[in-house]
Parts: sequence; C-alpha cells; structure tokens
Amino acid sequence: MFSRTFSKGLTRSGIAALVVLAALLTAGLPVLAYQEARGRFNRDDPIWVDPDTLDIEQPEEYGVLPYYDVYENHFLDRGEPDAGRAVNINTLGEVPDSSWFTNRIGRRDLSVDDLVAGPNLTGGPAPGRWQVVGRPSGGVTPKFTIEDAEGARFLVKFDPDDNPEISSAAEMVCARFFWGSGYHVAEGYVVDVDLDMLDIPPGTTFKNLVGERTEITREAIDHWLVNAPQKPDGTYRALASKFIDGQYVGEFRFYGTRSDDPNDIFPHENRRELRGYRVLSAWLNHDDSRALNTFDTYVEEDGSRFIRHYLLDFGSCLGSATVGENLPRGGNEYFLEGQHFVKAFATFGLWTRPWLHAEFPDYPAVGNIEGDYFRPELWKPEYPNAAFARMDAADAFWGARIVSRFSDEAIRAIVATGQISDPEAERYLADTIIKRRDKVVALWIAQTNPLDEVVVAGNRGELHLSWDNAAVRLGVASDSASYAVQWSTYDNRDGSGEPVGVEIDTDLPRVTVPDDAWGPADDFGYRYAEARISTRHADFPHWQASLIVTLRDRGGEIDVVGILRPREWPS
Amino acid sequence: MRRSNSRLYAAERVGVVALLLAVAVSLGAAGVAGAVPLEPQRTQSGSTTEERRALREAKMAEVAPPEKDGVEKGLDWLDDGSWLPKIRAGWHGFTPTLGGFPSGSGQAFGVLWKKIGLGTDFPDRTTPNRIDINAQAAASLRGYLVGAADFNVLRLGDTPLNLQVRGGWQRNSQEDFYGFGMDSELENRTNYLLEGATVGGAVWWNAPDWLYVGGVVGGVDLLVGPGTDQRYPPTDEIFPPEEVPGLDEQGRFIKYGAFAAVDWRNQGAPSSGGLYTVIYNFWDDVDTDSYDFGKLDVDLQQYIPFVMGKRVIALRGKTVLTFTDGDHQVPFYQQPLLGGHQELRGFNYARFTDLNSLLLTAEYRAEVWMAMDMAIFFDAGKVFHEHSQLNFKDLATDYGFGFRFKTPQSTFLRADFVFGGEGFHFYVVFDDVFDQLAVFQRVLKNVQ
Repeated sequence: MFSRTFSKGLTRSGIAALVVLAALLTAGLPVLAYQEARGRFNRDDPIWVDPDTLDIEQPEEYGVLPYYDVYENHFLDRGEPDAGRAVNINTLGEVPDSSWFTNRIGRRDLSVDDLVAGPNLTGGPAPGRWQVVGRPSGGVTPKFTIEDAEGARFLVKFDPDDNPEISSAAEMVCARFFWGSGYHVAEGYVVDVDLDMLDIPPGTTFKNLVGERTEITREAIDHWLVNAPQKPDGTYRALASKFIDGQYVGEFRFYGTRSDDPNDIFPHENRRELRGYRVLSAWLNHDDSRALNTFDTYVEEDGSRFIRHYLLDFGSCLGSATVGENLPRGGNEYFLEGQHFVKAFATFGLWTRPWLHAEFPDYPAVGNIEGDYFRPELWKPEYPNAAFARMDAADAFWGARIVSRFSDEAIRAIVATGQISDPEAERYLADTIIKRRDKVVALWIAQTNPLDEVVVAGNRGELHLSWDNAAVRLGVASDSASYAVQWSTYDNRDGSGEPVGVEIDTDLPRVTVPDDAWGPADDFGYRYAEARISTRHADFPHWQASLIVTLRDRGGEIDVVGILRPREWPS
Repeated sequence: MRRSNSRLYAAERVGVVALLLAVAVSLGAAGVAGAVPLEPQRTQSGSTTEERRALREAKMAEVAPPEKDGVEKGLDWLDDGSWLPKIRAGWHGFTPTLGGFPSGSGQAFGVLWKKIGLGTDFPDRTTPNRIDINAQAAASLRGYLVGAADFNVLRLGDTPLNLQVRGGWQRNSQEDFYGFGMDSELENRTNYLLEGATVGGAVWWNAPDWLYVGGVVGGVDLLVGPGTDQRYPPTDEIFPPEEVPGLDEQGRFIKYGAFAAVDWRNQGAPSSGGLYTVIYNFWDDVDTDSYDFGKLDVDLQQYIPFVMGKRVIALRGKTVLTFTDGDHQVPFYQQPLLGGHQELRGFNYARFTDLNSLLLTAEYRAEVWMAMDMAIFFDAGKVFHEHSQLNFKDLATDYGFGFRFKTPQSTFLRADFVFGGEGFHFYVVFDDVFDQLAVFQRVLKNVQ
C-alpha cells in the first residue's frame, strides 16, 4: 500500500535547512529563500534555459596542466563522494540550455542537413591567401594558426603520415555528433593546404619546445609538416578549426566549480550533460574525453559577459589517436589500472586482457574502432573522470535517448563529412557507429524505468495521461510490458499528498486522470496531481521502480511539470 | 520511498556542503570545489530562474581565484618555465649522462653536448646536409674515462648518403680476462687496463628507410697495462704473455670494412619486425705486422608479435668470427667476448674470450602494463677457436626473468634476474637487452 512519508522528511529537511541558514549566515552570504521552502515546483518550472550568463568580471586564465590532470584524476578523489541526482536538470529531468549545453536533436527539429552542417556557420577559411600568424605550443599534431583573407583565424591541423585522413575525419565526424547532441564545439572544415598560398608576416613567432620565441619561417613550416602526408598534387589535407569567439580563460574540470565564475554554481560532476557525456563518449570511443580537451571562453553576448564552455579536439575519437591509430587499450582500460596490472603481473602475462581479443579492420583512415567486442558498460576514458563515475541510471537514460535519435541516415551523412577517400572504410566506420549506437541504447535505455514521451491531454473530467516505452519503441525490449499506476494528490505547499483510489493495472500506456487526484491549490493557485507508474516486464524486473509524473493545473491549462526517474542501477 | 529519501538526502547534502562552503569562505579559501549547492525547486520567489540567478549573484560577492595545491603549483612552475623540455634538450646543448661503459665499470657520470642541425633552426630527417655534432666526456667510479666526439653530415646533397667522422680517447681501467675458451676458470679472473685513442669514419647509404649499406675506415692506437682492480691480479701475473697475444705488445691499427643492415622493426621498444646486420672489418697492424685480422659480425634479431603485439617472442642470434693469415694473431682484447648484462647474462662480463663466438637468446615478453613488460629468457652461447666449431654443441646456458620499463620511444630501464650460469646474477641497466644502437652507431662502435 502506498504511503507518503514526506512529512517526516520535511522535519529532517527543516534541520538541513537550518544548517544551510547557519552556514550561509556564517559565510556572510545573503539568506536565500529555500530554507522556507514549502513545495517542489516553481511557477516557471520546467525551465528550459538556465540563466548562467550573468555579467561577470573576466576571470584569470586557469588552464589544465596535462600531468596534473592525469595525477589528480588517478590519485585524488575529486568530486563529492556520493553525489546523488544530477542537480542542474529541470523538473522533467532534462538539461536546460545554458553556457554548457544547447538542446538540439530531439528537442528541436534538426534535419540531416542540419546535422551535417553541425557547428559550421561560416563556410571555412575564405578564398585567398592565408597568413601564418602563430603556432600553439600544446598538443601533438603538426599544426599552425592562420588568418584567412577576411581576417578569420583557424588552427590548421594535419594528419599523421601512416594514417592519412584519420585525425581530420575523426574531428569532423565527432564534432557533428557532439554538436547535434547539444554540446558546444568549434567549427571545423577539411581543407587542402597548398604551401604556396601561405604568407608569413615578418616577425611572426611561436614558442618552441623549450619556451623560446622563435620566428616562423617557411623552413619551420616544412619541418612541422615533415611527417604529414602529402597528396599527389602537392597539397596537404588538414582540418581547419575556427577559433572560438571570446577570450580563452582555461579548461573546465569534470568536478567542482570555478571559484572565480559566479555563474558556475553546479558541481561539474553533478551536471547531467557531463555525466551523460560518458554515454556519448562510449558510443564514439572518445577516450580523450578529459579536461584537457575542453575550452572555456569569456564571451560577450546581449550585453552580458560570461564564460561559455566547449568540448574541443576530437582528433582522438573513434579509431584515431590523433598521431596515428588509437591503441587497442583506448576505451578499454585506464592508463593505470591496478587490477589488470596485478592479474597480468601475477600470471607473468599468461592472463590476457579481454580487449586484446577484439579485432580491428585494416583501414588506415579509420584506425582501431570496432563494434563487435565493444561493451558500453566496460568502456573507459584514458583515466578516471569524476562526472563519468557519478553517472546514474537516469543520467545514462538521458544520454542514451540522445544517442538513439541519430538515425542510420544521419549517421551515414555525418560520417561522410569526414571525407574518407576509401568508400569501404567510410562504410565500415558508419556501420560500426550504428552497431555501437545500438549497443549503447540497448544497455543504457533499459537500466531504469524507460518511460518517456509523457503527455497529458484532454480537459478536466476527461484527462488522459499517456506515455511511451522507449525500450520497446527502440527495439530493446519486447512489446509485452504492462503498467501499474497509482494516483495521489500533491500539495505543492508542503510536498504532502494522499493516495487516490487503488493501483490501476493496464496493458496500454494510457490512463485517465481521476478528478480527485488534484491536490489543494498552492500560493499561485496551481493544483497538482501525481502518478507513480511502475512498468512490468518479465525481462526487466527493475523497471518496477516507479517513474513519478506530476501534473499541474494552471487554471485549466494542464501540463506535465515533473518527471522523476529512478536513478539506481539495477542490482 | 525513493523520492522522499533522495530529497532528504539532497537537503542534508545542501546543508553539509553549504557548511563546508561557509568554513571555506571564512578561512578565505575558495578553490574549484567551492560550489554553491542548489535545491532548484524551492524558492520564495516561486521561480527557479530567479532562484538560480540569486545564487549566482550571491556567489558574485565571493569570487576568488582558483587555489592550486602544491603539486599543481609545482607543475605549473615546470610548465611555465618549460623546464622538462629544457632538461630533455639540455642547457645550451649540454645534458648529463649515466652509464656508457662496460659492465663492472661502476656507476658512470658524464656530460653530453650535442648540436642537431648546425646552421638550421628546424632540423629533421629530411634536412639536406644536416650537420650533427656530439661530444661526450664521462667517468666512472672505478676509474673508467672517456672523451669522444663525432661529426655527422646527414643526407649529403639531399641524397640518402650520410657521413660520420669520430674521434676519441678511452681508458678502461679494469677490464676482465679469464683466459681463452669455454674451459677458462672463474678463479683465473684477472684484470688489465686498456687505453686507446681512436679515429674513424663511416659512409652509408640509407634508402629505402629500412636498408643501410656502407663502409668504414678508422685507426686505433692502443695501450694495455695492469688493471686497477686490486681484488684480482693483473692479467700478466696469471697468464704468460706468450699465451696471450697483444698482452705485452700493442700496435696501431688501420681498420676498414663494409656493412649492410636491414632494419624493419617497429618504432619504439621493438615488438615486430627484424634487424639483420652484417659487418666485416679488416684490422691492419701498421707497427708490428703481427696482428692483422678480419672480423665478421653477424647479428640477427627477430621479433614475433602475438596478442596484438602485447606478447612478443624476441630472438637473437649473433656470431663473431675472426680471420687471420699465416702467423698473424688476433689481440686478446679484440677477440669476441661473452658474458655480462647483454650477452650470456648468467656469466660475468667478459667471462669467455676466444677467436669466435656464438650467442643465442630467446625472450618471451608480456606487456603487463603499457609502460612495463615482463620477460622470461634463455641464453646460450659459446666462444670457440676454430670456425668448424660453429655449431650448437657445448653451449653454456642461463635463464631468468626480468622487467622492462619503456616509453613509446624505447626501453629505458631493465631489471634481469638470471640463474643457471655461474651463480645468480642481477642487473639493473638503462638499456635494452638486444643492443638497440642505431645501425651507424653500431658500426662505429665496431670500428672503435
């Protein structure tokens, strides 16, 4: 029998709220409102835009040091120990648009052409001569910075000699997938570089390996390209990555917040888009998904100056490791993984890592990516990631839904943007991404009660609540699910409620909203009803954990205001 | 009641984290972990947007630069000053060195000065007429000394032709000698000093990338004397000079020869491919005309990978044969050696000496970590007097296990535990067991 214990919870919440009050007072911060909180839902819920673009002073540059990033993520316990549910989501469990994320596929109408265009707005470097204006000191690829005839700046990055096209193709393809998924990424274009189209303004320098400013000469460019594959016509294929607008202020970590960014209030390890980034990264084998490959830029938009957060550098995505094929370890094992080391050590190498039995094709432009051995739950980035480690079943569901929205047609079209000259290799890559998509979706869509597309329709007196079963819809589960629905009232003033009627069993994903399920009006005159929907499926017993759906009546305008999905992994 | 509990937990977490925040702010410590936690749905204003904005405005008053811990500050300092690349590149071309002498020489310390691509700012493998210069001085704790320099012109005239000229002086203060043949006695360990000045040069053609063909010429002026290791007698105390060619009479040599090598190993610590080297040198004794001889050095290495190259069978076969005419002899210090950390590891360095040698080594290497291999190995070898004894009979053997630490570029540290030879041997050395010298370096070493 359903019973509500929230009143007891309120007592404990009250204690917690007092602690909050005391803490904030101690800290000298303004007394915030939520110590007097009386309900769950605000009048503007669910929000779809997180107001994290408040005008702020420009922070100092705070970059990520590669060695430190490896060290702290391997050896220090970064992030909150038991983080709980993602905190930046709206009441529907979705990620609002923000300086971190913009809802795209699934939320907005995106055609295949839109996905193919991805972040590209400008069309790439303008025709005409290029000025070589510098060279970044970091990274491992041959590269330099150019300014095109219209003054736009691009970082031009070249492929490795033994694997022509591999890095630039990976960049093109993955940037579009991540852009379509909602992340901010830089514009990127495949270009053919004719060295005769380069001018080097006198006095142009770069910082060499030992930190000295050195003049850029044609000899320097020849040197940088000594290991870059040259095409028969003498040009070099490269990726031109457009400079991101604004002022670079560092990279973002996958834990904590920046103390010098007032807009940054949610611990990064508790941001759903960073936890769910693991799902996307596993799908696309983006094992280089670490702080080093992010980019924070201080921008001004609509009169406000703030930090926007980007994902950057997808050269080590898919089967590529930027300077060649990805190692078979990539995506399968951290740099340092004691358990595997001990096993191999203790058996003198007789025990072999399971992933060593994966088979990779011989496509130099594709490298080491495959979809047969791939097991999403075992996938790993190069080293631990605090946000990935905290991904729960609800975060995974969120990520898997995004992945599922990329159709075969869209995947093939996006892969084509990699401009891989071997059609077989291109076909293999698209097939592999499709195969991995299906595995990712099959696993992570089904780890929690997979109901979505929750809709309320009709008028008071004849209201229906309907939903879809994502796992059934996506072919992950057989169409044999049934549902048990328990209605209750909901009092938004104090979070209390009373069950209404008995549990309803139905084979259809649709129930009538009982008139007596509506709770009392809150301070805004809104009334709420709540449904706990349990899914019964012989193959997925853990789906019985209820999805909690809250309906709101705003003077006859009825909507779904809350969806709380179970976040626990199945035992 | 999952929702209630999770909300409870969240509320408590809000309190705890906020308390921690308060303490942190009070102490003036605000780093990247200084988050303002949020319970988004609870607000007096009734607006989640307003609540989030209020939290951000509250944080605006408490903005502080990110704090770095000691490790991060240290790495930051290294990064800002580019200190690690500078250490690798050296100070004005100078870098410290360790090792470089034969086994038993004691820990060595030295300085290497190198200039890669004299006159060009961006030397690489395609740079025509690239001039590289190296100069080295080193000393060991047991009195070994070396000073050497080489001058290289690579890709002469933008062709695959390369040139090296090298000169140096070396003093090996306590080289071991046990007598000739496999029957030599361990108890007959003696030591001698070998000192000499050398000058040499090589010209070689390197095209395609895996093929090396060239010739060498050089001269050596050698001196043999009593060794400085007081634990063992000088060689001439145990062995009559008439039984040890070159012991009481050393000369100057002119050497010339040719070599060819095929190298198709993968880059870095090799796990596939092979290296096959054949070098022939003739040594012309220009003073006494007693020690003219030829020396043929055949070294074959093969790497057989399996399990994606994470398991490797590494095989090596090496023979050194000397040739003399008439009454000429091969000086004992120029005769092939076996024993030590690279060749027949279960025996002391230079344990066996004779006119010819044969070495066979097999290693099974398993990568237990990306930067570490474990190995099980077996060595067999012998020295012999007559070419007709070039066979697999009467081989001395040893076996053992070891660890190799590697980077993507090379194996930089090795620890081997060896059994089955003359007692247990343990080595910690900064090299690969199969001599990984570049081919032209190998040739020049042979000339020296």
